Amino acid sequence: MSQPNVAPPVPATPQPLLEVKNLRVVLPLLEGELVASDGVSFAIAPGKTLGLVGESGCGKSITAQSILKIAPRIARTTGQILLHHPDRPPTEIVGLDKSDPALLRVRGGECAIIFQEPMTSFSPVHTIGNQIEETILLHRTRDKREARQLAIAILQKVGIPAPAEALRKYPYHLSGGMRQRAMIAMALASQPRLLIADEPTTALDVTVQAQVLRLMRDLQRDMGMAILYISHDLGVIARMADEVAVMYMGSIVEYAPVRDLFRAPRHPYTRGLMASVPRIGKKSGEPLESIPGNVPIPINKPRACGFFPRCPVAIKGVCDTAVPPLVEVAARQKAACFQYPEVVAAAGLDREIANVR
Amino acid sequence: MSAEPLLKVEGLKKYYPIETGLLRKVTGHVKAVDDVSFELRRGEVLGLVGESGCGKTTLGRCIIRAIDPTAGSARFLPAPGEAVDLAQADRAALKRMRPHMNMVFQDPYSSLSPRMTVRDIIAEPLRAHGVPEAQVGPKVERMAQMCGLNTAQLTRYPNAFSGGQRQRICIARALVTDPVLVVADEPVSALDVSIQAQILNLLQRLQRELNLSFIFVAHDLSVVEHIADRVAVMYVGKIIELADTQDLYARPRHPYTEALLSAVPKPDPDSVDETILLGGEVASAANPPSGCYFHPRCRYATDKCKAEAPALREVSPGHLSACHFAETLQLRGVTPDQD
Repeated sequence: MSQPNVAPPVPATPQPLLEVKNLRVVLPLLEGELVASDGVSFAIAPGKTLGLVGESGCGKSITAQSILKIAPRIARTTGQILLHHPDRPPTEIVGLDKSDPALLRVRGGECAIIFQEPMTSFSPVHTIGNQIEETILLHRTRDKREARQLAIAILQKVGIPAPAEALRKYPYHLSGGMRQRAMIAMALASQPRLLIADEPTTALDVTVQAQVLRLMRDLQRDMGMAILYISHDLGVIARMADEVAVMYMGSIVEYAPVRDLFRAPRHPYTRGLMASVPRIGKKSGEPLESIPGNVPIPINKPRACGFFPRCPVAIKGVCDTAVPPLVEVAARQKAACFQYPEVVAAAGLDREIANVR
Repeated sequence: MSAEPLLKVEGLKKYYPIETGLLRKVTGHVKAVDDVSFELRRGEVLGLVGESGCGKTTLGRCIIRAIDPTAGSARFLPAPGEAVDLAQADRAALKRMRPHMNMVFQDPYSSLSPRMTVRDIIAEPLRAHGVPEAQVGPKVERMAQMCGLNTAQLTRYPNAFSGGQRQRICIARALVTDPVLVVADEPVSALDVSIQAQILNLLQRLQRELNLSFIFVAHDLSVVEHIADRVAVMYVGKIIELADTQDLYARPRHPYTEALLSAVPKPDPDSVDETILLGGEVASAANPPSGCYFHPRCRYATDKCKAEAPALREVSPGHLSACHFAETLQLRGVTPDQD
């Protein structure tokens, strides 16, 4: 068992909509245990956007899937995922049985998800209308005619021209951008309070991406939903998120409001990521700063900082023997790195650090 | 740098027939690449950008004759007096040219044979061109080392490698015959952000050390700006703007380029979203609109744009644009963000 992240998950904000506490998802594989999510804690306030950043295999998607309990069946999940309600006690999702009616209300109802590839998330043999109305009939009304009207309204809202005709079309009739709009329409059809967006624009061209990003922000403003926005693209995160959690090898290594994160990244991995992206409008001719080594796969992860082998400021004897907890290292900014005395103190390693130095 | 370009492409076209009905009657053509002309200088990196379906990959593949173009010419001059028109060359001539040009693909997972060792993968182009076996080993090792692979890794199979390392293998394979022209088709877009920088740096270093000429096909405008000397922007099979990188990014002369540049999200939460949203959809290459292909989405379009197709012409020294109003429009480029 690796050490859980000690810090409380949220600064004192008003009642969050979603609280994830010490989430741990383990996939038992032939090669060993893959710790996809290793003690992850975060919270999202109503109407706000949390950006979840990281590279492939860092556990960002499986964390999101756990919220809807759609992670792979072999996954062993522990920890708490609390969905708060204004009028009743919160729903704890990790412990729900898969046939529990409360889970069905969460899935596609209170929480909806949109995926990267809209072509694979629609059924190819049902019309767009069928698929959107299904959601509405499940969560909002039993009346078919009303469902049709609501479906038309939501397609109009996401900017699909001639929505009544679009309902009769099949997904392959639509272009990539229109399909992603239809996907968003399907997700929003149930008027969710939380929208999980898992790399929703990665497969799209920049001009279409710009349209979809603006659409999502407009819809968020109108409907007041919270968004968990997963992406590897720092530009998109800068535009969309209020707060950002940076993940590496299953753990959140930095957690901060978006401005603070981009102005002064605290974790060496975040710094490395930002330095390795070429910035538009800044041609220098110099090589990019890059993070050496490869993105590791967290199978049989050692009890150490996951970033240790690639880290430019690693402290030998400390970073390779203990897991740094995620602690506040500056106002509103949390980082999990032993270069900060706050982190060392929280882990109780003051003496070890002194010995190494 | 000699004055003569390494590659001179003129009027290159690739049309795919649209067949309908039982008799497969040809009812039209998808004009994937439609009358494209440009020059590639020696030791230059030419970025080729545009949205999916604009024909940038097809153009790269036509030049290297991975597919046969429908019409046009591509005069390739690997060494003085050895000019060959790649678009029309026969099998024998092409085979002679193959060592001088090669390609790096987007997906390093599907472009390496899982049943060959890394050594055999890198050696294959040499063996195909009849390089004596005694020279193969040293050449492979030298190239592998230049690409950041060590000798011990050569005996392993691709499945032992991560995406970034696989792309190093692909690059070593492409460069082992000492080519002068490399077509790199989205070589970093399948890679993680932290690995992308490593591979970009590697490509840039090799390009300078070996004085390679690159056609760098990509959709990521920041990446292209970083690596390219000049950039060509494609829209529905045509090059609509071509200029020096800094000139194109700072002072675009085509409304499509302006919109494209404005849509790139900057990694700065304080940057103002100045995206110019394009209405409608990318025009279809099977049934393009009249006049300028971009006019239905262009916010500056006039009646002239609907009627007349603009030609690609020089609007300022070294800056080509295919817009009727390139000289008069005040278009917005990328403003660098402050730090």
